[in-house]
Amino acid sequence: MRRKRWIHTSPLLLGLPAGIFLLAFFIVPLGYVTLLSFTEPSWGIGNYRDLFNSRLFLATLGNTFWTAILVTGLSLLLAYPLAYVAATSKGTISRTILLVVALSFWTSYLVRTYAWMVILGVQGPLPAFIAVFGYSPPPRLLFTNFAATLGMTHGLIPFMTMALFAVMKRIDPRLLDAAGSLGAKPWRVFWHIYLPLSAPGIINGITLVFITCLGFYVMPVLLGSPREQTIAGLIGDRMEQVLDFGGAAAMALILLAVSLGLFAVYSRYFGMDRLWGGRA
Amino acid sequence: MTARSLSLTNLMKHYGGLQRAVDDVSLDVAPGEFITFLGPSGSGKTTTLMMIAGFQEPSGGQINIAGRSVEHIPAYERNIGVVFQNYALFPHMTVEHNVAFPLKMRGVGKKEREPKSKDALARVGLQGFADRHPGELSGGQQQRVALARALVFEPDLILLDEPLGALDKNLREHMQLELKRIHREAGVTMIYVTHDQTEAMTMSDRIAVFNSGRIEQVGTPLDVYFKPKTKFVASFVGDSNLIDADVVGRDGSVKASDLGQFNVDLSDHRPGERVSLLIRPEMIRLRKDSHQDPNVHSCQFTIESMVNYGDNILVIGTAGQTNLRVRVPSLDGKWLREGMMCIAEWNRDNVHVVSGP
Repeated sequence: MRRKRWIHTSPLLLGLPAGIFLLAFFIVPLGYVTLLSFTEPSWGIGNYRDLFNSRLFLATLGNTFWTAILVTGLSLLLAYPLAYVAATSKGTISRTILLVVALSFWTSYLVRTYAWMVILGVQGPLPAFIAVFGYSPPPRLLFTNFAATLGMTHGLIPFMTMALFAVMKRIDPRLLDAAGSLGAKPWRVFWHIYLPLSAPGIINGITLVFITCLGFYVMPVLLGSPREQTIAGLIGDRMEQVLDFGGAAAMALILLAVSLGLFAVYSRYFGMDRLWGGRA
Repeated sequence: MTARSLSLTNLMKHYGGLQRAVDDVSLDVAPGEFITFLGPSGSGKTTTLMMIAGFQEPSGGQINIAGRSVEHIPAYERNIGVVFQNYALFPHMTVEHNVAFPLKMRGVGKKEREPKSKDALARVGLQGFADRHPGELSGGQQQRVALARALVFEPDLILLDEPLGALDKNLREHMQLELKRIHREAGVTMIYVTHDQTEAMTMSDRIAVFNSGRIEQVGTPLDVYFKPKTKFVASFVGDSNLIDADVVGRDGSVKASDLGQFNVDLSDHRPGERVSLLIRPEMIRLRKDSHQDPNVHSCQFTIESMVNYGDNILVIGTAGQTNLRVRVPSLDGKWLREGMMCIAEWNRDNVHVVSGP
């Protein structure tokens, strides 16, 4: 009898370590941040009211979204052909593409960010290259929105490529042959068959990249323009420079709410399990 | 639908190495014919089909459809309907849109597409399924949709690549009859690839037997079954006893070591030549004792094992050192027991001589 009860409760016990971990390092801090946003410096919704009346905050929110849209669009445009070639070609070409994407993925964001700082910096190769064409002095590249967008796009292309590749790899090549035999020219095969079948990958990639973009810290802060910040940078400033923990907490929660909202839309229409590689 | 002829001339396909996937295949298919490419996997039958469809480029030789050379025409301009083994239906389109797809690609207007695709679906018995998605259909139904999609644009040829391979036995037999009916009604030239010899026998006007990249024999099902030209055809199509023998006389007498000397129909074989004799298992009869008949040859037979198939019994045994397989109707074989000695006999005109030992 005792033995039986032990068997019944054991699956719950298996989940215990992860449960404790999540509670200690995720639920509790998040609860604390929520609490801060309503209590610091005084009780009430003052922090939120101030934020929605703050031009800087609203402009930053707008800039964050605009940058995220831009980065997502650019990564999709660049990653789609890459994933397509990786998924449809055989052997060496496919392996090489995946290896390069994975290498980029495994390199720390910080390393990649500093690499961009060197490339884009005043003494860097890119401004020097532009100067060759007679732009003197060369345009300022580092610490602009351009640099931040470039860095983030580079940082997130691996995510987009993987999301697309996972879905494209499952497209039956026979379907493309079939479409051809039914009279579809190659570009119509792509338009009518391949593109719709790869759509789940596009949606997965867009969601993943867009939401990651919203909270990206390292690249926008180190590469971007100090005058046109993103939310993550603004939160950092609030805490480190103004010590306004309540305001920073409220911003973090607004960002979280927006991300969750987007996830909810995605989940409602496309299903959460697909994002994590479930069956399309 | 206007039926078209197909002709293959010295068709070749090799992938780098020495081994040729398709080696010098020539074949003429008459308009409206139902021809089957029969062979084991790797025999080149599917590769040949893929070259006709335009999915693979021949390394050499010609493909003519209705007298027009098509080797350099891309698949999407060949006007050939292909039915794939895994159906290859577009999962994101409804059944009707799948069937209308080839019409849409040919610039047929929306108003014309609908009645045509409904008509094609009716022809395969799938009225009322137009708005389903392929994922909601059974394997047999998906196969019908694939067939409707290949029929709807009135192609010059329809190619079928093991289309019934994924279906269970009963459904398969049903679909064989359906396919024959559709072929009769549409009158279109059909090329059917299978490794299943029963399927080939029951459906085809003619069968082309493939082995290691070559066609070993082309003929009607009865020709291929009763008069195989090679040992491969004799053993691949149907159950068989192949017995080595020597030609001993000009009168058609042959001698097989354990079965003795007897006369068969020999036209172009000379004394001293070694040949193979094909005796189909169902042509051998088992008796308790021998009787005299000049047209019948008999020998001693020992039963080693028996397999009961319900309608017939497969009796495996030996005559001397030679193994023989015998098929006996169940009702005629009630007296047979394993280990029993009896007489095996066959009519001399039921023995077919295959060239070469």
